[in-house]
Amino acid sequence: MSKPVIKTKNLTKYFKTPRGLLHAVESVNLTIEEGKTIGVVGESGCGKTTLGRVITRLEEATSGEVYLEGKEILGLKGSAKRNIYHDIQMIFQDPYSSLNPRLSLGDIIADPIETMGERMSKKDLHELVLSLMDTVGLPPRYYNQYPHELDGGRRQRVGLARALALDPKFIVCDEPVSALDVSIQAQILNLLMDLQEEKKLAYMFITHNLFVVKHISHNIMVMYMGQVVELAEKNELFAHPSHPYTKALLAAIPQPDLSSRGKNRELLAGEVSSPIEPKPGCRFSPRCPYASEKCRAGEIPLKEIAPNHYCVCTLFSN
Amino acid sequence: MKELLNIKNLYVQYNTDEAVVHAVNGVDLIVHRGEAMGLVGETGAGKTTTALGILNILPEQVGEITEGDIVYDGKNVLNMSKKELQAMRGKQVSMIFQDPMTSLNPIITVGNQIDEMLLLHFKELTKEQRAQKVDDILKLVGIPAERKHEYPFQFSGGMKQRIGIAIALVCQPDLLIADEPTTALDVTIQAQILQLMKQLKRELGTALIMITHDLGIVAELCDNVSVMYAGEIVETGTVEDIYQRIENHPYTTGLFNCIPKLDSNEKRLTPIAGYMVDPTDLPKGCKFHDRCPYVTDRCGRENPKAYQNGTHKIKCFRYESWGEGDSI
Ligand SMILES: Nc1ncnc2c1ncn2[C@@H]1O[C@H](COP(=O)(O)OP(=O)(O)O)[C@@H](O)[C@H]1O
Ligand SMILES: Nc1ncnc2c1ncn2[C@@H]1O[C@H](COP(=O)(O)OP(=O)(O)O)[C@@H](O)[C@H]1O
Ligand SMILES: [Mg+2]
Ligand SMILES: [Mg+2]
Repeated sequence: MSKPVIKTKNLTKYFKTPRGLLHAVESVNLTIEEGKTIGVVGESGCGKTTLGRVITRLEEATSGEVYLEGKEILGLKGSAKRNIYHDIQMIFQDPYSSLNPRLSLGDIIADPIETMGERMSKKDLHELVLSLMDTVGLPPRYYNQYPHELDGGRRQRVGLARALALDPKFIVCDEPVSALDVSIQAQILNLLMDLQEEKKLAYMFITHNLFVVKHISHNIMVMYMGQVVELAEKNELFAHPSHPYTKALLAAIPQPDLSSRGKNRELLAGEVSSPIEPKPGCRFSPRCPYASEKCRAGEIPLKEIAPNHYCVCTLFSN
Repeated sequence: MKELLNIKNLYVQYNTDEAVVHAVNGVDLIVHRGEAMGLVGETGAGKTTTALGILNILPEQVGEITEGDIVYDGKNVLNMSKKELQAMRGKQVSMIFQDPMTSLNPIITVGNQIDEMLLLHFKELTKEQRAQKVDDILKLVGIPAERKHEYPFQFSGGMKQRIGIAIALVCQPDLLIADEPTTALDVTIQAQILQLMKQLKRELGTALIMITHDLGIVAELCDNVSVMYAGEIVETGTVEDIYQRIENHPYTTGLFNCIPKLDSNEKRLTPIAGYMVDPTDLPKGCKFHDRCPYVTDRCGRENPKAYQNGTHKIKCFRYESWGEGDSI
C-alpha cells in the first residue's frame, strides 16, 4: 500500500434549513493514497460537492476529522489553515465562474503564487507561469488573453494550471469534464492522468458520469442522499455491484453499442428527495425493491463483502 | 413507411453584428411516420438550428434560411402562412427542450397549460372532454392527475420534463422533436424518461427526432441515426449500420473513440485532433479534413458527396467505391 495522502474520519456536514437540518454528508470515512484517484459518484444532491468542499475547508465540517499526510487539518486556524492550500487544491465544473474575468490568464495563474508563495522577481514569475501553461497544454500566446476568449476546454486547463501552481499533493476535481464535449473531455482526462503519473497526485474525482469515473478512478465510492452506500476497487465495483442503488445506477446507463437494444431495463422508480431530518437507517430504502423493516431500524454497518469491497446494506449485514 | 418530413438542401445562417455564422450547410434529412431518428453531434454542430428550422421558429432578424426546402406531410413549411404555421406547431409537430422551463409558464398551473394547447387546436371539444384529456395525458407521462392544479416550480426536474412531454403530446402530433431532453437529468431519471418515450412511440406511433450528443441514448431509442458536423450530416444509416462500427465516417469513429469503455482498462483515450471548425470561417473541401487522420490533398479541395451502400450513407472519399447516393 502506498502512502495515504488524505484520510477522513466520520466526516459530517449538516446545513441548517428552514425545514430542519439537512444531512448533506453523513459520517464519511475514506482514504486516498499518493498517485491514486477515488471516484465519487451519485446523483445530484447526494453530497459530492459538499464532501469536496469540506475536505478542502471551503466549507466548515459539522463534525469529523480530515488528515493530510497524517496531520489533522480541520482544527487548524489562521495561517496554518491557509497553508493547507500548498497541498490541497480544487478544480470545478465551470472554471469560468471561478476565474476572475478582469484578469488575463497570466495573472490568473500567477495569483496563487503571489498570494501564497515566496516573493519572486517578475521575470521568474513570468517563466513559472509559462511553464505551468506548458504543463497543461496552453500555448504561450494565451498569456495575455482573458477567460471569455477561451472555450470550455481551455478554461478548464487554466483552472488546472492555477491548481497546480503551488505544486499540491491532492486535488479535488468537481465534475471538471461534465460540461465538455466528448472530444474535449478525452483531452482533459488524458491530461489529468498524465499529471497524476508524473507528479504522483492524489485525486478525488467527483462526477455523475459512470464512463468517466470508471476510466479515471482506482477506487469508487457511491453516495446516496449523503450516505456512502458502496466503496470498492473500480473493476470489482463494475463486475460485482452489490448495493441495490449501485446496481440501479449502473443499469441505467445507456450503452453506446448494440448490446442492450430492444431489451427492457429494470427501472428504479421514484426520485431522490432531500435528506432533511432523515429517518434512521438506509435513505435509499423507500425506493429499494429489497427493503425490509431492518433497513429502517437504525444505522447499518459498513461490511467488507469481498477484499477491498465495502457495502452498507442489510442484505449483507448478517 | 410513409414519408413525414423531408428536408432538402437546407442552409441556415445567423447574421450577427460581428459575422455571418454558417450554422446549417446543406442538410438533407427524411423522417418517416413512426420512425425515431437520432441526430447526434457535438456542441455547435447545428442540431438545434435544424430543429428550429423545421418549425420555422428561428430567432427573428438574426436567423435566416438562405436555401432549401422543408416539406412536412406534403406541404412546404417555408411557404406556410402564419396561421398555417400556428396550426402545425403543437398539433402536427411538437418540440421539447433541454430546459423544460423553455416551454413551461411559471405562473400557470400545469393542468391549465395543457388545456391551453387543447383550446388552441381542438376548439370543438367541451370543457369536460378537455379535462379528461388533461388527466389522461398526465397519467400517460406518469404524473398523478390530481397534481394538475400545481405550478411548475412544485415539481422536480424530471417531473417538469414529463410535463413538457405531456404538453407536447396532448394534441397527438405526428412528429416530436426532442432537443437534449435528458441532458440536465440524473441517469436514473433519464432512464425513466427514455422508457416513457419508447412507450409513447409504441403506443401512439409518434415519429421522433432525438437530438443528443449521447451515442448511448441513440442506441437505446432510435431506428436511424444522422451524425452532424459543422452544419452537415456526414453520415446516416440505421442504428446497426452505424453502431457495428465497421464502416464509419472518420468523425463518427472519432466520437466513438472518445468515450471511455466500461469493459477495458485502456490508460489513454483517443481524442479527436484539433478543435471544432469556426462556423464564421468554414474551410474549403470536407469540413473535417484538418482533424482527420485519413486526410488527402483532395479533401481540402473538394467537399465529398454522399456515397451510399444500402441504407448507409457516408460523406467521405474513403467510401467512393460505394458509388454516389442521394445527398444527405
Ligand atoms: N449552502 C447550503 N445550504 C443548504 N443546503 C445546501 C447547501 N449546499 C448544499 N446543500 C444541500 O446539500 C445537499 C448536497 O448538495 P451537493 O453537495 O451540492 O450535492 P452534489 O454535488 O452531489 O450534487 C443537497 O441537498 C443540497 O441542496
Ligand atoms: N442566435 C444565434 N446567433 C448567432 N449564432 C448562433 C445563434 N444560435 C446558434 N448559433 C451558432 O450556430 C451554430 C450552431 O448552433 P446550434 O444549432 O445551437 O448547434 P447544436 O445544437 O448542435 O449545439 C453554433 O456555432 C452556434 O454558436
Ligand atoms: Mg455537485
Ligand atoms: Mg443544441
